Amino acid sequence: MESNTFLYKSIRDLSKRIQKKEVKPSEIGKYFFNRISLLGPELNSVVSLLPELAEKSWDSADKQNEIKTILHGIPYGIKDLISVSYKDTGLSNIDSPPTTWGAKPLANQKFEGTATIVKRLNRDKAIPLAKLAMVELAGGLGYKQPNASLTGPGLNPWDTSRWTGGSSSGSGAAVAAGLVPFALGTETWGSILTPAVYCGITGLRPTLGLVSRNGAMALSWTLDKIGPMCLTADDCGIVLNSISGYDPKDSSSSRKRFSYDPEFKITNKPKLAIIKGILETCDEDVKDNFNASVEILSKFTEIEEIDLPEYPYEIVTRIILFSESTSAMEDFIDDDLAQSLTAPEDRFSIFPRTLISAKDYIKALRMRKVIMGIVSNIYKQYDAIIAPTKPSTAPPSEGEFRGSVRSGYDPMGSIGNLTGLPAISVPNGFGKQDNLPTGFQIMGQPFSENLLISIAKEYQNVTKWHLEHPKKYSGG
Amino acid sequence: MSNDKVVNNSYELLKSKYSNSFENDAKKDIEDIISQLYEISETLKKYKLDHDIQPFNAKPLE
Repeated sequence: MESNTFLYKSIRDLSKRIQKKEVKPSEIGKYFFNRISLLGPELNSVVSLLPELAEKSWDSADKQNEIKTILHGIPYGIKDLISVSYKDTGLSNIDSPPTTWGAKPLANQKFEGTATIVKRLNRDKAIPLAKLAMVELAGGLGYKQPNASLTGPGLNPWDTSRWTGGSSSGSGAAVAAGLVPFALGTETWGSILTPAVYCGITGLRPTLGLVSRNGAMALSWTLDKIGPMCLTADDCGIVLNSISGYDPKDSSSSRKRFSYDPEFKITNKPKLAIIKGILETCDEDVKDNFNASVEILSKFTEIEEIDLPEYPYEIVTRIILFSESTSAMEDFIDDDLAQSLTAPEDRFSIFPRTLISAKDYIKALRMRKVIMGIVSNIYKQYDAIIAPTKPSTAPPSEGEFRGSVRSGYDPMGSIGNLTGLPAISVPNGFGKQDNLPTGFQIMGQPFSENLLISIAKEYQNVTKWHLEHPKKYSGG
Repeated sequence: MSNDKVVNNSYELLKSKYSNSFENDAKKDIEDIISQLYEISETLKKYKLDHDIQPFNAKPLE
């Protein structure tokens, strides 16, 4: 068996081979474990390898004759703000890996329990291989540079002089370089979709409350989400099906059940909206690729431009994020740990945020209600909103990429995260000069993941952008 | 109060609260953030809301 036949295969393809007994989970697991061990460090994408847990998991998957789930024997990586405790996995004689939150002062931090989502993936016999790199404290302190991480800047497999995007930087790089078939990422504002688009993979930000955050770092309780980063939209559905569902350990967890329907058919042409002016801040290549995507999408959807009412979407999101993150990081501040962070700006940015008044925070929460009304009106007429995921391709991995207080026009990111909407980002081409991936996002109503995935799948059925991989890592 | 005065007073307040937590060479950057947060606060003031609009998530216990 040529083991590199596993490389860049979808979860569904790998699973078919396991189910047909053509290959054992341990063969796939060992192949990807060797690959991530060898190539992960050169991309700064790994914090800890999990050799004992990986071996125990593939042994267990090998032994189980009856294969009950599609994730049986499929390796994956875990963003390092999600806790894994070996005590929960029958490896109590071995030290658990740290959960560093990407931060140097927390390099040895360990938690007692394992996150609910990891337990769910264990239940489905998926194979955890590594804790993956991330921007320190999920980028919540206002970092300005890619080099804001315990493991250094996330290097983009398409061009290692470019950044992966953050904060799920290791998850983006690991999937794009074929080091794992899928990874878990998290998003408070942009942290799944940004590395997904910069790394040329498919990323899904689920509806707020659909995936339990138990065992994950809290940055902003009303904004944080956990979601899959994969090669295809179909794979995102498969992973979401496993990790979603009510969890009493997360008080924001929804009782609405998501059940991935791979046969979900688009019956009537879905109505998609494009916000007028959304392309104005985009680079030419991003515009061209988006317009080409619109042409393809218009074969099976109806697309119209809409006016988005003027409102301070970004400001409202920012005040909520700043206020909640300051509360979430209270112990971190009190223990004087900020001084040891990697990015100089992260060492002090949290302190001025303590000055945000309760009045402004409450006002932002009330304005969020107004924004939910605006969004609700849009979704009375449209099934989803589409836009370029980012206005440009990946920036350099050195230097600064933005100003001091998070700024910029981002109605899709601010509205989507503020109101807990799901979105999926799919690759749609490359920049002509830099040959780096571009992509677009489809953002829907709460709990509309099946529709979003089906639109993305339809697009991926007639395009091949998601099948393009960095030459250096694909042996091409 | 003018923006400059707010920034100056706020910086001094932070310095007195967190004197050991950041270096003086961060002063300009911190003042810049304070200034931007002040502008954000002023922007929020411009949006008048009916009192019926309650904070997101203000729900009774179930």
